[in-house]
Amino acid sequence: MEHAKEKGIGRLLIRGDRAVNFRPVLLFAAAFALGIFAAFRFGTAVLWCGLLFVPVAGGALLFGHCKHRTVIGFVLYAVLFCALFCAGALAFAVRIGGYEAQPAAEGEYTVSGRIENVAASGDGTVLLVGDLALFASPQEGILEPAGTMSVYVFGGCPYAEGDAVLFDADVEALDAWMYGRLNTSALIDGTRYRASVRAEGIYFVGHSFDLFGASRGVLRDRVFAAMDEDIAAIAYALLTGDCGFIDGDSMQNFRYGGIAHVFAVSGMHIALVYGLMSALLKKLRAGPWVRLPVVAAVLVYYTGVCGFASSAVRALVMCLVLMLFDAFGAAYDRLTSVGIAFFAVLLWDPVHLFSAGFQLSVAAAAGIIVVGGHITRLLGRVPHFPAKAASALGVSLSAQAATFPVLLNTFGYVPALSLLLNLVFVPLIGAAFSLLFVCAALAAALPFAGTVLLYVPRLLLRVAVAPVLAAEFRVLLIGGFAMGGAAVLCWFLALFVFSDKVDLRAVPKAVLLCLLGLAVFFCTLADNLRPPESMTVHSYYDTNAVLVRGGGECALVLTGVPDGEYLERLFLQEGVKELGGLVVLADNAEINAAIPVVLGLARVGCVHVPAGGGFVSSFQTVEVRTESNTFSFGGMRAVFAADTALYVDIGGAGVLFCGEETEPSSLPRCEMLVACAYGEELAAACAPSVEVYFEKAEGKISLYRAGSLQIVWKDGIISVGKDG
Amino acid sequence: MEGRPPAKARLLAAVLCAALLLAAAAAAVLCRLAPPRKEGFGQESVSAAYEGHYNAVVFGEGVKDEGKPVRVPYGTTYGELFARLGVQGAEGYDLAAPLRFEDAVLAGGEYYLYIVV
Repeated sequence: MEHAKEKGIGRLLIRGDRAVNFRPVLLFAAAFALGIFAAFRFGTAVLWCGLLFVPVAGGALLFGHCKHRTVIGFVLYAVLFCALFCAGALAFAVRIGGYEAQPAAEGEYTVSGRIENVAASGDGTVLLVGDLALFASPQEGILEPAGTMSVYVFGGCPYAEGDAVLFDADVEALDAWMYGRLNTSALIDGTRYRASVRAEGIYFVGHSFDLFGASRGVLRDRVFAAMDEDIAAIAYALLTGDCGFIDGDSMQNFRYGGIAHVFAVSGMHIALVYGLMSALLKKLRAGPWVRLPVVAAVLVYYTGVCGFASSAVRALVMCLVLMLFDAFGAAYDRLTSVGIAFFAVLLWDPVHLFSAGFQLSVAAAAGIIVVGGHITRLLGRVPHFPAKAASALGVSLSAQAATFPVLLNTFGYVPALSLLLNLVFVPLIGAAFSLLFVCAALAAALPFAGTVLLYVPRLLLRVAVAPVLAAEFRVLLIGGFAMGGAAVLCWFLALFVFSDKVDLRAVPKAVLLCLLGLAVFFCTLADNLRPPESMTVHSYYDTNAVLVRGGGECALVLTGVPDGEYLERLFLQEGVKELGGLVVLADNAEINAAIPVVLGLARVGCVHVPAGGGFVSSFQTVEVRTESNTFSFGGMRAVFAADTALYVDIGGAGVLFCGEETEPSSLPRCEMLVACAYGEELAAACAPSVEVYFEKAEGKISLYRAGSLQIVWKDGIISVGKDG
Repeated sequence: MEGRPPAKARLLAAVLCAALLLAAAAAAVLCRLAPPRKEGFGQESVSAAYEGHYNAVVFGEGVKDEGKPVRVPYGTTYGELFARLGVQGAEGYDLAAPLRFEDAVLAGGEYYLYIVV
């Protein structure tokens, strides 16, 4: 009777035999990923959760015994789930432990190593140097860490991948956790150190062959020899995923248009190589068991040339799974395939779970698989709607929806024009890329014919990207808020429920979607609630910024010349379009350099400078006021305590902001001190109750460790906590 | 069901797949042998109580303890301050308005509100 009742209720909710098709690979991948995340948040203590399989398995066996049902399958899955959860947690902990076990070398060292990668950055070059040997003094001996070093070279760098080099530099150790987040790019590259050096300070020692590096170097030389620099940079980025040579403003325009993903070596690239190789081998009448290893080898080689980027590896694994399923005559399930790819990348390096590039790659692929087909079919029901347009829209919409939360939380904005621009430009760029790939491969083999071979791709690419380079896409950006964990989970659940992978009847599906939609809304609202008066403190490498909000106004404090790209992202994330006031706690030269950077990103009502600083304004577009007494700043009263120190009164409590090299002797006492670096004299002079430092400070709150912070005050309590 | 492998064979295949899976997971852990990091990456926060107050120095005719600093809690109005110091008929001040951080002067490591009545 009960069984019949259950079946009746089931029939009301579900159309078929079951609501969702169970896919073991997705369960296992989820278990491994959950273990990684749990270890990230709680450390190795989560390994005790593995013992949960005992009560779960025991309960299942008891249930099976009482109801006379076979539960061995369930027990096996429970054991595997717990085992994989623990494996994920341990893999992550070991990975981070291995990174942190390398010596934290800081100071002047003589460094020798081998160049593994060369990339452009601003006016210089960034070398990734491996096989390191560091020497500082006979007492310390020679350090031979397993990690790599990121070396910024001022001026032209004549060296290439595989060259062994020697130089003296001031070395800085990177940490696994920096600025409130996992330093994923450094962890994935194994980059433990960074240094800056002039080109003339690097000495060539020798050369060793590096297949992938040499291939990249050959490709780079051929492309840049045959094309204009701007188009060559775009072509090289399309081929290898290395965007370092593209002009900063152009690259930003691609991002604002939501089409920068074309430079991530992913499905489109791997599919093209797979298609070309398969067609070629079929023409040569190669059997399936010859085609499989040859195509796989070429794909692995291409992925290696692209630096084994996570998006490329994800696409590679999916392609290999497709080939294997094909070879064995098994039915190919795309969702299982993306699950295997997800799992494989995490097995290779668990840190990828936190990489924005990997998250976007998996989200887009999964979104297209889960929701794309359903949207296409829904659009196909619209009378006279062209089938190809429905397919293109389905793919684009599903990818946009799936990547929305990741883009918003990573970059602070999502381009509203993205859907339209993806529909128009991605096919054009894709078509140009197809020809570019073939011609570039031939040009690499036939250097004398490079210019001729790359002539047509050069023209096609110029036509395809000209509108993107010429237009200004920094309009209609959706941003100014973030989605927390709960909101993101409900968002993805809603997408899953909406898809045809969940076989619910129309009414229960609609009700569930509405509930999930409301959950997304309210969770996002709760995550972004901010008191009317507050401060947020931000730092990223050399850019330190404080946003002061009060009285309906927003003001900005800087401690030097900010990085334009970081400040732009900050303003987008915080929804800052206008600043009532700006203060730069630095010398006059830096104030002069900082003001234009800020003016390029937001309207500024007034720049306040100290009366004793001797600043002479040459700015026509903004008012510069010399302040000798208290002034209104972000809805609060402030006064310059020194040329590079600002005292702000908050409800009778004083918050003192100090720039670099602030002389502590004449500073006032305060309730809260926000300074660049810890100094005993500074702390003694100000005697604050709360200290916050931008740079690393042992035993103190620092933005270097904690990331962005929010400072709120209420009822006689100042609270400092994570922003967002 | 017709054509389906026997239960024992299915169980064997499932166990083999599970073993393969665990071997791959073990390889992920063991290939980078190093002492694992024990702590997670947490969030930092701190809060501190503060005593919102102003130091005021009042000058003028009839002011009790003229020029001597007076410490008053945040939110004290001009009227309350003047009443405390025996000031009569102060012009130019909104007596109902709370003290504002204006005309502050730094002396001896503290800011003082200099008020002339």
